[in-house]
Amino acid sequence: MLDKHLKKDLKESFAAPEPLGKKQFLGNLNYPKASPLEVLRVQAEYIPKFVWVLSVTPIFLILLLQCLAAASVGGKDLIWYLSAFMPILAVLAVTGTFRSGAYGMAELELASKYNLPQILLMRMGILGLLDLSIVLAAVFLIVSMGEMTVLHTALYLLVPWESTCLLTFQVEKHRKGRETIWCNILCGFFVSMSEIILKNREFASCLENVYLWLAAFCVLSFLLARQVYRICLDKEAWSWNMYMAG
Amino acid sequence: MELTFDRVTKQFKNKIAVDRVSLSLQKGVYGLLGANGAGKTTLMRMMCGVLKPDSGEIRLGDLGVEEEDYRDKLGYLPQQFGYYPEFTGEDFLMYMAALKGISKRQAKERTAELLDTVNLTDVAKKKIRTYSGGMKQRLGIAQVLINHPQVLVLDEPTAGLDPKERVKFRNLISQLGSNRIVLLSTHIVSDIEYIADTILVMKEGSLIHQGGRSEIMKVIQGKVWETAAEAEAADRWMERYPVLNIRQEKDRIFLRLVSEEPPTEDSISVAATLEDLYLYYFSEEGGEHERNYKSGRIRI
Repeated sequence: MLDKHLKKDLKESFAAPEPLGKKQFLGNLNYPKASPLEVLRVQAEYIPKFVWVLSVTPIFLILLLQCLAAASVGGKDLIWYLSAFMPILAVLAVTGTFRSGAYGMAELELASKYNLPQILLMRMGILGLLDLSIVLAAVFLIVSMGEMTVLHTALYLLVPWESTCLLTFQVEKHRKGRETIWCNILCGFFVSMSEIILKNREFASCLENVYLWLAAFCVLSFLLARQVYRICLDKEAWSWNMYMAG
Repeated sequence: MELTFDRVTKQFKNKIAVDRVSLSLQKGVYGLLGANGAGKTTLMRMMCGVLKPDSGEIRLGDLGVEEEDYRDKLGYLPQQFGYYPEFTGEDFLMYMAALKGISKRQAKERTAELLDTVNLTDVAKKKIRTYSGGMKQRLGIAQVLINHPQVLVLDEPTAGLDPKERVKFRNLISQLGSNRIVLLSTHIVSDIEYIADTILVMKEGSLIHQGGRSEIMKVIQGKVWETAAEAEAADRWMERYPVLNIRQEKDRIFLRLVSEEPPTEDSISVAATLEDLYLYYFSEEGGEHERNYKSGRIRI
């Protein structure tokens, strides 16, 4: 047993030897892992800010209209304008979800621990929840104006949103690269203009039939759910067509 | 740690991109050599779980390539990759770190370390769209290493790098290969020559050679000649022998070719290089001779 004074003297007189293979040893240690929630938070952070801003615009517009022209603008007028805006919301959500393919990041993301199908699911969840919150807020505001019921309002907002989502999913499946963004915008514009034209031509007597809208909603919901399920299962057709650049 | 390929096959419509490839990789650097369309990228994509084989399987020990635990140990640099337009170099690495399951604190330290390793610290806060091709490639190399991978798959990693950066990269890979499985594919034959312990030669979806440099060079060692000739004679030789290089000087043509015997009395035997082997296998004439060699009709 060494004398403690001798120990102290030895320490002061001689430097400790340099560690050998320190970097290699540290490199082989398991690093602290990020939780799935942290990855979800990162995905939310990397959704472009303009998507968040443009998505909440309709609510602010409704509030503004209510303040400026409360008497002359009713719920029935407002619902059609909002209905025409829903495709834009859908385009933002789908383009935001599938931006990996548009910007050539898909192959890197496919080979990561939290890989592309998981990332798509996270983005769909975040943007889907955002749009759903906006729809709920819009339903509440329009119903409070007194002319529309909850069911009518929800259907008139969700059906154009779902139909645009389905169309743009097909664009993402069959086209590659940045052109998908322009194709999605065209799809959104097409559905949006259809909404406006229908309103202007006053096919209201047909469109007032809520069962037609309810049937459309059910069919579209089923098709959309099936599409999301196939994406999550990482079907090869999606992988090759969607993700491979060039 | 062993990465095994068991009769892995991948077909796209009428083309068999990878044809029943079987091999086993342990720690070390493997160079994958092959012409365009040989199946190298397809093989690498299957190795990374980006594509699924039509038949056969790839496993790292007990782990299949489709499992998350396998991807946790993987670092992949594709031949081409993009970036989100708002990303700076630092953002890109932080994002990739999150995808690879690294906590934010650890990711910050690792990002700073890797940016220093690839000499991008000064431009870390700048948008990637302002980077040169070489800088983007270095950033790609940095993201490969961010999770201390045990398996590294690098598809054309030195494309766009200047000679100085290429040497630095070679040294880095050599160090990493001592305790990792590293597979890199390249058309730059000298990269493989300097750093690969084992060379894998791929042609038309099949693995036609596997071994150390000296082993695979046996095919043409002592059979590479340089000779000079008039144009007419040169044309005859080009039809008869696999020609590796042609150089015109004044009124004579200098040929570098492969032959069992000296083509002419004044032919000089020269040391074969890996590039000679590459050209021999992947030129048209070389292909014919390779087919004949494999079938036993001729012997080199």
